[in-house]
Amino acid sequence: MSKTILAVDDSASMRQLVGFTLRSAGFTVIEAFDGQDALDKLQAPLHLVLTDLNMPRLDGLGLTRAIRATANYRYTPILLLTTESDPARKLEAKSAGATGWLVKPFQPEQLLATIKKVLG
Amino acid sequence: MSDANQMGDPRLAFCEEARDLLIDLEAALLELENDPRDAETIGRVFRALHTIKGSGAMFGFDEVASFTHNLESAYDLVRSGELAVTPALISLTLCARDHILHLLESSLGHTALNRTPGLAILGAIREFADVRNAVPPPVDLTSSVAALKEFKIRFAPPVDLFLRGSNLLPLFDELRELGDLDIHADISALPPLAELLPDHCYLVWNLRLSASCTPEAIRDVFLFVDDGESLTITAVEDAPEVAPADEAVETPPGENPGTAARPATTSLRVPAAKLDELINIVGELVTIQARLTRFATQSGDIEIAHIAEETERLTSLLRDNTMSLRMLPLEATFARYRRLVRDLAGELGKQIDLSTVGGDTELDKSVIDQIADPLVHLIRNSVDHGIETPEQRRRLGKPACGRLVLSASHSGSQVLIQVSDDGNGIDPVRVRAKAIEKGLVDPRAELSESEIFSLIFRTGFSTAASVSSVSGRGVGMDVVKRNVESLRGSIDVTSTLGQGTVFTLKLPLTLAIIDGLLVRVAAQYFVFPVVQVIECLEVKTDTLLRGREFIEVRGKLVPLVFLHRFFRLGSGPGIRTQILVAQTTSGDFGFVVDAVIGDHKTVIKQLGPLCQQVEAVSGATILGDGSIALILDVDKLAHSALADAARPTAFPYSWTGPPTIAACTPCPDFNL
Repeated sequence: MSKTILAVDDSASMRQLVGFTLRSAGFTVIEAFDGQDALDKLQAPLHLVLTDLNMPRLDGLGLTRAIRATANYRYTPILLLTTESDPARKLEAKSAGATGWLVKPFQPEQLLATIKKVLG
Repeated sequence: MSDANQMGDPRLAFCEEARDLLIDLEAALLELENDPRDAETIGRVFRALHTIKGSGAMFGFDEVASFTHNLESAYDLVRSGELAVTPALISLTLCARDHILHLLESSLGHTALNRTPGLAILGAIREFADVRNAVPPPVDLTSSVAALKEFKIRFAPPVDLFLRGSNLLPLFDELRELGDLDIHADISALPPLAELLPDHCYLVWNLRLSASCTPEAIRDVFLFVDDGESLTITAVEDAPEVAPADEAVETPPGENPGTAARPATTSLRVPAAKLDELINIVGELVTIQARLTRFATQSGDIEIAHIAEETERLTSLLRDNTMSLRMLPLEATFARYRRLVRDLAGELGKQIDLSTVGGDTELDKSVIDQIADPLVHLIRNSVDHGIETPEQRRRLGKPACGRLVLSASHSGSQVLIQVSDDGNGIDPVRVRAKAIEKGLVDPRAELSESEIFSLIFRTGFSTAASVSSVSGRGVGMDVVKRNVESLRGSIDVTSTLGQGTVFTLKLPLTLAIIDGLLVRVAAQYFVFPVVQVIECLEVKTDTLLRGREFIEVRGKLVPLVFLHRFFRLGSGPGIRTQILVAQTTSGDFGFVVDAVIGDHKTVIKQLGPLCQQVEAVSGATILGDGSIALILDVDKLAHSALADAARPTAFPYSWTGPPTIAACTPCPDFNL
């Protein structure tokens, strides 16, 4: 069975690119346009969450905290896709419960390699 | 692959999205100008820039990304309060925004790239903020290759490792890809079962790896699980590596993720062609449905009548919903004019406050697209000729800042859009004098004020006493009027000298549905647009047939068009005949038909390519019994009737003898 990934980004073209990359690699992809939308779309089985950091309504960090606070998804890996590479910001993300991050811009292969690092 | 088809070209998708973001950016900047401290708006500006930069780099628009990066850095300073928002900064950002659009267009090959304004803008931005990293640092992916070495790796993960969603198995798999790996788990820290928390990690791993890689490459594997002190890598010959010191990090004040400040709209992008197709199909459904209703009524079967009734209800719901899909709020269009007014006012040294009312009024997308240019012209006109300079206004006792109001509202099946200003108004005496000078009116004619004002829409009447760069661009009010009328709308102007001018546009809600009047000529049905019909008359045919081409309606002579003759249908009117008096661009006309059947709201179907050049017919619709009714373009009909009448061969006419097919030029062949 293919693994399910929730891809969260307020940029439709990013969602499209990420969605296309992941679907081409055989994943099932759920897309959400911001953190709040992502929370509304949480559904089992969910193997991984990919989220942008900077979003309206609920940002990536807020989403990460909210997911960690939901019993069913406490252990679901969360990867942040962001243009920010500031170490302080990374630590903040970590303490929020993020599993890892990938700095934009990235190549589709990098994205897949990073996902493999998390999902095996 | 079907996914690829659905996706289209992601680069184009990005461009479309970037254009939307730039529009939003512009709106946010203009709002920011009014309220320079509004954190929410600053956030919006920053987010738009951030997304353009991030996605731009993703989709290979490097020039866009690096240019936007500088702006983003500046607005990061604004966000943190280190840089104040000034009108100069807004102006600069607006220019930069235009340049980003230019960069986008040129990357797509639409225009030739011109970097010069970009360099000037960048220079100016650097003056505002000390922006250093012009280009985002590239991610270094290369690691130097070394000879095969043996590493001792001690990994003591933080206890909350699993609570961050990490899984160690894939990491060890990844290490195995680097070289030979030997794994030992140290279970000494494991507490007694009663005290053991199942989601905590108590284990420490000792690994031996022989690989030809650098310690950095190993660290890279543990990228997500290493918090800076849990990993120790020792090359077997080397001295133990010192773990990096703990970094002190300030945690930000708690956020409140639940409260949403700006509601995001959930929306889908659908190509307009798909919508048109849907509307077309729904149109056919409506037709079939009408047939079903007719059949059900005739059959007298209650069961079928019941089904037909239910279908009718659903069909009309479906039709209304489908139509509403094409409806867009005018807000976005209005927002674009904000910039226009701001720039124009600046150029002309005027102070103008633009306010918009009823931006949530919805209008068919194709109407919005076609109304944009006429509105620009009206606004330019108001800014240039209407509103006075601050000095003039002060002298007249008006506030120095002029007011321009754009408003939209519903009125039945029409939308009213008004452009009103509090400027000097239109001088009827000057307009009249000018019209006489141009030979548009007879010097002796007595004209009411509204008739005088309507002269400004006449071809050949140029409003600009002095042609300025702003409104003297070769497009007159006559073009505005023609554009509006081609949308089956109308335009009116009222003005009070010294107090201002109001232009009122009346537009149909949609171009896909027409409110029509169904008429019959011989066996053929036609639809007249109701908005143009003034009245219906019934007269005795013999009063018309004595070669009379006119009829007197309320003291006015109205020329007649005999549709039988025009379309060569049947043998002429019966004893009594109906006349539809309609407003056309060539004046009022009477159209002679056999019967007026009644009000008919209908979905317009375009004629096939074979019949596109038929001037007097704008479309067709299918009636409940499956027969076709042609929708008449009354303006063109009147126009070609005038042209026909001017041709001597058209007289004398006779009703006798059916025409040959070759003679049927104005009449499309319905059976095709």
